[in-house]
Amino acid sequence: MSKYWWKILSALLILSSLIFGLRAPLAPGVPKVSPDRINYGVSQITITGYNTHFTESPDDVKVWLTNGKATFCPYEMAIVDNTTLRATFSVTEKIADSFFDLYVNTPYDGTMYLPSALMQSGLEVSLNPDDVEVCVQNIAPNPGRFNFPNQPILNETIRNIFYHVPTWFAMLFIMFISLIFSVMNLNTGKFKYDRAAESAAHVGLLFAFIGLGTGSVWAKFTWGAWWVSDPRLDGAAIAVLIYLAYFILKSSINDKEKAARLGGVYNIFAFMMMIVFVMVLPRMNDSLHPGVGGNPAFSQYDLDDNMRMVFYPAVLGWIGMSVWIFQIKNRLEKLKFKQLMNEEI
Amino acid sequence: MLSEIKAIILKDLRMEWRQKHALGSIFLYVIASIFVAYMGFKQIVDVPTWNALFWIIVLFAAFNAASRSFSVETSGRRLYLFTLARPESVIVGKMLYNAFLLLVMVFASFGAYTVMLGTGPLAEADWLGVFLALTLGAIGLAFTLTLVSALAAQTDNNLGLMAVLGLPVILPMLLILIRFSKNAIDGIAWSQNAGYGWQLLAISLMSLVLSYILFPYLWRE
Repeated sequence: MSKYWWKILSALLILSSLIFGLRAPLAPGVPKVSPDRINYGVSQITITGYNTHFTESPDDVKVWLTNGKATFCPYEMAIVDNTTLRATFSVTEKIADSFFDLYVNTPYDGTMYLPSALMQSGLEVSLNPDDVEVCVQNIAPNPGRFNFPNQPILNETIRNIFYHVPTWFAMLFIMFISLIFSVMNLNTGKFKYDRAAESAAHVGLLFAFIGLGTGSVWAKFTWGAWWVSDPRLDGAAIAVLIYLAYFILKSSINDKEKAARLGGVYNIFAFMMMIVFVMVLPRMNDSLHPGVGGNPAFSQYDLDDNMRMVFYPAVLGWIGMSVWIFQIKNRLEKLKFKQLMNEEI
Repeated sequence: MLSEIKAIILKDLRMEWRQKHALGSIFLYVIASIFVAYMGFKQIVDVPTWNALFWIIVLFAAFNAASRSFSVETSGRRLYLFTLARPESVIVGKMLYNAFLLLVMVFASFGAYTVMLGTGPLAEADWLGVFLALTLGAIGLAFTLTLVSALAAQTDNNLGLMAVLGLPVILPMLLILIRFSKNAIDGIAWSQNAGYGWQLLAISLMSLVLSYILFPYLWRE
């Protein structure tokens, strides 16, 4: 039992990250407003919410627009259902900014915010905007439920961070194990280290393909294409090519001892080149990935405390799982080798 | 150590000079590729295409040149070298010799390329940057491909494996190189472009150090 604790732990961590990552709801938000323009005079807009509960306490729903320092409240508001509400605004002629930000506050959902929700048309953008008296009072506090941030383009796909990113971490970890076994094989010349290095590279390649698959699906729904030009994707593709080349090199040599030596040298050389590319270069060139080339990092905005509670266990769980798969693969290769030996005798 | 390296470089130079067909075949390969490009494109005015095509031609010529550096050594001569020199000296000597060969080849093919495909894109070039891109590119390609050629020379399928093993390893460097030289051709000042130059230098140095450490394991048989 004491030998297996980390296997049980990583299986439990992955299971919990699957349950919480897929079951916990997205935070309520107001993703859509129509029409998205506001005129001088009276204009009625329809606000569509996501995961919102407008009918829970219809009298306490508050809607307001901000523009510079000015705040505008609707003089008429109708709640259609849980996710739809209509509000009629009348705004002043001189405003400070072309865009209005939208806020919705309910006791059940807390404050929801849509930046640049409405664009002005026919109004005058002026350095001396008309004065408006503050109309928002008694804002309900955020209820603090367990949910994930509702980001504009990401929407529900934000959950993919629990499955896409940990597979890359697991891949790098297992490739590093492969590197260490290659170094040990070169130093001692023992065949068992070479077998371990190759098994680890196999598992690493499996995780690379999972990472490419999950990333590809995510890219389709956020960036609009299955594959985009991006240094980190190029790095991932090169990593896959390098390890495929490693397997071709090993299988092309009949002499086991020589194959182990050449494979070890190539593994170390190629891993270093890949690390330079995957880790260093994307930070120097522009990338669509968060935390790179002016994009906000996950740690800054997106990865809030609720997400951390699922994300870090998922990383640990997937790394443990990759080591577990590696052990099974290595044992299988060992048995195959023994069987081969017996057949020859 | 230094005298060993010098002896190996001189030996390779002398060998290359006596077997002129080998040296000639590399240069003819470049010139023929450039001529094929010329027949296909006539003149190229678009900077990214001009630049990328040049480096792709150079890349394949470099593969061709570097793949010879170990396969020319017959197994008997390899054993003789092994008794004479330390493996570290052999790899450093081969790397420096390859760097020299590729430097000559890169500058010669740059000349031929500008003559055949037009100098239009070079009108506003930052010449210091272009010079450094050619130099660092030749050195980086030579340093990285020498170890790969030592690997491939020990297998039966030398040329095929050279491409399979070498391309993924060389790709990161090639991408930086193409960006660096495009910026130089576009006339972006050296102060803005220096980062890529340092990256190239760092990758070249890294492959020098790695080859120095790893080659002894390949050499003993």
